[in-house]
Amino acid sequence: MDQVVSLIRDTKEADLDTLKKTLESVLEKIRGNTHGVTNALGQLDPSKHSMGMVYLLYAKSQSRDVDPSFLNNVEFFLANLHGKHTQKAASRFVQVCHIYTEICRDNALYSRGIKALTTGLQRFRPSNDFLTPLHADVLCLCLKAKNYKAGFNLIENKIFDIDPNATGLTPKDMLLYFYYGGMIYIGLKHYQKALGFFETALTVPAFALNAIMVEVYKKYMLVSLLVHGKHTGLPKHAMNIVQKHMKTLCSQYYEFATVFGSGNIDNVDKVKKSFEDNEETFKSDNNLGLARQCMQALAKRNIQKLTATYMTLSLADIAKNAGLNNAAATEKVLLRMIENGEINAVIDQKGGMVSFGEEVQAFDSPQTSVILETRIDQSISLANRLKNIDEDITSSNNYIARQLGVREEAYSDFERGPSSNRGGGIRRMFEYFR
Amino acid sequence: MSSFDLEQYISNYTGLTKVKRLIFAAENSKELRSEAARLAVKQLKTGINTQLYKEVLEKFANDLNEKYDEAWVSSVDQEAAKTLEKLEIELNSFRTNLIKESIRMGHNELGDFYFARGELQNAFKSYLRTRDYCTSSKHIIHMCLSVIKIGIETGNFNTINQYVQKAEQTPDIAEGQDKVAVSKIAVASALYNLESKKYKTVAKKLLECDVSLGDEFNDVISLQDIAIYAGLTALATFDRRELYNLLDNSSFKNFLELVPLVRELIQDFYESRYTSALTGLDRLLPELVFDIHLRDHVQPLYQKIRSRSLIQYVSPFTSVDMNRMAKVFNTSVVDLEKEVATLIQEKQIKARIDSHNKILYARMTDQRNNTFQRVIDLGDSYIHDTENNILRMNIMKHKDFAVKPLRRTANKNQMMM
Repeated sequence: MDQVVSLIRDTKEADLDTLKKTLESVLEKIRGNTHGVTNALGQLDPSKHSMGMVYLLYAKSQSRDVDPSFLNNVEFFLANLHGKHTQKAASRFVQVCHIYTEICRDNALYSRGIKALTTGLQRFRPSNDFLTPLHADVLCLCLKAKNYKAGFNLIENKIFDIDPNATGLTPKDMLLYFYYGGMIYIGLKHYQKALGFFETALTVPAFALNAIMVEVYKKYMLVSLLVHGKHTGLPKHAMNIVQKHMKTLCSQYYEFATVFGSGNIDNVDKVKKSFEDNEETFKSDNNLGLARQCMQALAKRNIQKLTATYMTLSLADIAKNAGLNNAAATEKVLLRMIENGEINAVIDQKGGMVSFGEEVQAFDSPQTSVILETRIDQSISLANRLKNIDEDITSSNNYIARQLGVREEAYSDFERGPSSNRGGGIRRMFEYFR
Repeated sequence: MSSFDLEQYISNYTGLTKVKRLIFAAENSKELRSEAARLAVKQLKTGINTQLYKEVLEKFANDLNEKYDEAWVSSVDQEAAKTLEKLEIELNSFRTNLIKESIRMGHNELGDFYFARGELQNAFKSYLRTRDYCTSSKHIIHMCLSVIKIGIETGNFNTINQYVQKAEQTPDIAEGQDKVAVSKIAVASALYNLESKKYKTVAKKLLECDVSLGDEFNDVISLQDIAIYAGLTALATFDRRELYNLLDNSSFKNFLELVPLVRELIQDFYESRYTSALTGLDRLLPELVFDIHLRDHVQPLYQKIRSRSLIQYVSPFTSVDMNRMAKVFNTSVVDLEKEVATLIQEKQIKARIDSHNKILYARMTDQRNNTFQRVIDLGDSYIHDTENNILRMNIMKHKDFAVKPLRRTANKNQMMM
């Protein structure tokens, strides 16, 4: 054991790869020695010996009943780890984190876990553009704790890149991240953003379907009903296999969405029936709440449609058109909508009449310019990002070679001298420049 | 219904379509059932299509006091067998002599014979065989028309389209010299487009027809039909300027003279006399339900014409009294309100209803607001799409990064292959 510790201590940065091999080979031996490992962990400094500590932590996590001190060890490590070194042992590190997350989850140590993992994640990722497997872990704990705010900060940070080698990221981690992330957005009622997350999850490259994707698709359909009032279908670049099979796998959702989206005001009853028919499915999928919100949204959406069609309408007619039970219930819904600024209307209780005003949004407040400015800033930074990517690509070797129609062999032919028969490509290139 | 004169209507047609239209009428109307069946049998007896004769007699046995004429059938059948033999022998001798024109004629005659007997598939084959022996553009047109005719009778609309296009490429049609042939092809194309519900194309195609077509195409369509089809589809799809051009079109005037009702209809519509236009439509209806081709399209066409009248009616006003409007359109205020509401929701009418006072107010769209909304929406979708695409591009860099089947199932798939 001491040997291992001193080996970890003495290894220089350049020799980390050899250290990794050695550690992999002795993993079996140190696993048995729980006590030694705990001792060793105390002697090492995470900012210098990250690689070694990852293996020791892993060994500790594999023992039969995990020592309570494991949590403290992991937290200490997460708070101080050295990003680059840890990335070299990414897959082991991620396994440690998953186990840590499981323990936190099962023992309801949510906020403790969220805090530790978030710090660790920030130190571990190459830059804040990257997705790591820890993201999903954090979000899982946030959902369990119903602490959506904590997760919100994490998912608001846009993911642009992945690096499976440095972060040990698997497609499953990615799906889970976008699934959990979408659920947090739903919890915070940011449906538009949730829809975007689910969409991303469904466009992850896939040669097979997995259960996460199916669950994502179910929620995707319901949320798109909330946002767009109909099922908009997947983006074109979603994988074929997803497009093909989801219809059959989520047929009940599909049926509900079709009825819901058919757009006629008089089909409220059909939607209700479809909702009742599929209620069991929604319930068993834990989507009942979401489906209920769809039903509420339907009434609201219908009322909004009415405001565009009518100037005055009796409460009874609104109730009929929006699929609400009676005038009293309608009045309640209307009141709430007026309070939230969703519609502009005045209720005349004496005559039972409602007069709808024109839409409220006039785009003349300072808020409008704030909205526009943030969009413009975002667009500019995105444009810069695109420019950088474009420059990277146009200056990459592969791209230039392709552009000129020259294969690598042509280069080697060229080095061998013009007598070679196979140098046609490169010669053509020279003629081209002449 | 009593205003409908079957005998007069059917006298516009000849050949197979006459029988088919009679059968169609018999199937779709109780009052005309026996009369239509009687006329169909009468017509069939002048031809040699014994198969159809049998079918009609069986189908309408209860409505006819006529007995199955065994003697006639067997004599016609014998005669037909002889003719067939004769035609085939002739064709063979033409073939051995390799005279192109005669071979073409031979196939054609055989095709005509099959057609008369009601063996449409065989007729189709025979007509197709003339293809290789066509030497002039007249021949090609003849061949195309024969095939199209079968296409119409069998309801094979893809064939129609295919051979319409072929015929349109021949110089006679392309340069428009042969007006009768041009009209025939135009009608065929219109029927195809009618089937695919492209009503505007139907109207435009039918306007290409020339009245010199006369009764030459009566085994498919009558001149009156052309006027009615063109009138209805034009009313449903043309804007005011186009309608004006249609009324002004000197060659089409001749068609409209044939069916004054349609001419009045278009005139009324153009001059915004909706009440009389709509009653005119109602008067036309009994005749249309017996039309083999138009029947399925009457409902949507009428609906469209009505919507267009509503739209046109409200377009010049800033506010409209719905009570008066309901009178013009011959309906109740409640129903009218529903109709208008649907049109508003389909964004066809820009207005809002004051349901309390039953007044319709035109709605001014605020361009500035709309532009703001659109800019923000566009910006949002641009940002969202770009972010996603950058991520996707980066994912694609890692070739191996994808959801894969479990190894176990992968093996199974391989075994299955």
